[in-house]
Amino acid sequence: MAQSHASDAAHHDDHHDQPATGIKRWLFATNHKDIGTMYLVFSLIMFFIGGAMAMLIRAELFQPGLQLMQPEFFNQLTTNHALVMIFGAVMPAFVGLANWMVPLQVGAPDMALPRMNNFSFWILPFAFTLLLGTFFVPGGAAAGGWTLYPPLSLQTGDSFPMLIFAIHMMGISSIMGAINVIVTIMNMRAPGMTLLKMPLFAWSWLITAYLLIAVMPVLAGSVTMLLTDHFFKTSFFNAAGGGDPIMFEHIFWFFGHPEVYIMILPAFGIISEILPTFSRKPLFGATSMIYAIASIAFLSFIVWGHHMFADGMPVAAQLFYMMSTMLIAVPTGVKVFNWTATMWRGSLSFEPPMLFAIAFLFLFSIGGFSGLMLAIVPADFQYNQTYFVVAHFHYVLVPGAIFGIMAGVYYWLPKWTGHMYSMALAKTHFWLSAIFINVLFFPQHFLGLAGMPRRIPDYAVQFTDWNMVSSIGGFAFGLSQVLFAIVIVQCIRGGKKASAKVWEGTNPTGLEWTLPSPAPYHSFSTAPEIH
Amino acid sequence: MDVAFTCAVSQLLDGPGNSLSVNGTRTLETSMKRRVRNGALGLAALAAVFYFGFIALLVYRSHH
Repeated sequence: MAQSHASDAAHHDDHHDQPATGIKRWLFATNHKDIGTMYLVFSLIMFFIGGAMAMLIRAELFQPGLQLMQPEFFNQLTTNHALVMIFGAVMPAFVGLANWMVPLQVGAPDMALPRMNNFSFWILPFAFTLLLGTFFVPGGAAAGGWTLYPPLSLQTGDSFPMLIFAIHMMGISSIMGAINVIVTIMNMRAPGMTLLKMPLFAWSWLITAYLLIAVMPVLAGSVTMLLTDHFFKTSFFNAAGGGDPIMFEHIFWFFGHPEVYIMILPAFGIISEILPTFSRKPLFGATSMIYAIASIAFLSFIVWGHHMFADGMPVAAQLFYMMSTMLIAVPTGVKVFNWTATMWRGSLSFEPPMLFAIAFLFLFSIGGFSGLMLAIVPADFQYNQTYFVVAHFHYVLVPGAIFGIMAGVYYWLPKWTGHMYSMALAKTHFWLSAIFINVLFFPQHFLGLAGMPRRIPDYAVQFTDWNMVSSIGGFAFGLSQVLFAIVIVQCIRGGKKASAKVWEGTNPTGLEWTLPSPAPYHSFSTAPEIH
Repeated sequence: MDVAFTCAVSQLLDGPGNSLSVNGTRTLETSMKRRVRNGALGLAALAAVFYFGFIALLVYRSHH
């Protein structure tokens, strides 16, 4: 009987060794690599849609006065640029990387819940069709900023329920993805792989997944209450009915600040994989890196008030939020110094993943330092609602999160496709991105310090020069991303054969490098032993 | 065939009701499935507690 079952199983195995063909492969995908690929392609599409919105914004801001659009549409663009980039580009890209790499790194044959994995991906195209569809309904898309502060957000037109439903779907998708990552890591690690032996990328994702489960429901709860305020005459946040709009800000930022770390911790993990490989040295202080990530995640829950200093709050609360925010610099500093120590006296080489990782280190630190400036209460009153804030969070999210994603893609792409990509084209992409990201965002510090408010389509003439520079940087950065797509497409279509180790002359650590390139459709049919 | 593989593949192909039968691995496999299922349900419950908890907190606050 057992033998017969085994034979059935073998038959099943044969049948499912190869992927299905055509659209069915993707619609009914349960293989973690297929789903990871779909997440990554989806996020690249969203990156270009969100990027197109950003270029329209920069085109309007090229000169003072209204050139291309009415203020209402400008506000819709800023709101949806943020929503698309955060929930459509950055988060799905990290989930895609987790889908591809977590099972390979922990020695598991797949994610623990493959069907849920399929479902959590396929929710996203519907959510974003709904979100982008809001541009075409009467009253236009949401224009009150991605923070959805009431009462402004409650003035959204017919698109309001579409927006809220889309956010709920994104949240459900993220929570399901997070559950899958946690149960995979906790239950399906290869024999001998203790938690402390686990690669840093998997560690960073384990912590990120817990953050997601804790805060995405809070966002969902807050927008559900917005919905009931809008349609069912409740007054959670409606001051006219005895509600408290400031309470929404507290709840939103209880989600919003950890969300920032959800978008950066996996990048920390990626950088911690890449720097040792191309420095040809083990990661300095690997265990302290794990504790640093966990400390940052914990602190992210108690600092949300720094987004609301200008709302007015007791001095004791201001001091608490200021000090706790500054405290985050300690574990972040541990990471930056560990990365630097990893490179110190290493035998460095500068392949595209390493270039992006080094740029991440420098430019993310700039975003971190401007964050420290914003944490100082009296200074925050000066910087609040200016372009300085815009410059700060873009330095964290673009050369931070997005460069982290690009570093990861360039690092693992040959493992996924089995081909090496064009190093020259990838390096050109890097240099154009690294130069123009600074042309785009660095002048915004000056604009903010000079008092230019954010979220406006028009500005005083004295801000013209730096806005022109910033817009030129924006167009150049945006266009240079086309190279990224070209490198990926070329690499998928063919190229020099990649070896199992991919990066010859280096010593990359991790189970993924023990598999051939491309990684087989079902990896680790026998669980690897870790010693 | 190892336990993790049979567990994942059986979920992949047949769902939780029909596990692959490999000599000596069935108990371990069932135990892993149970851990995966319980872990997922526990985490989903935690997410639900945060969702409904925050709404309940604000309902309470609006009445006091």
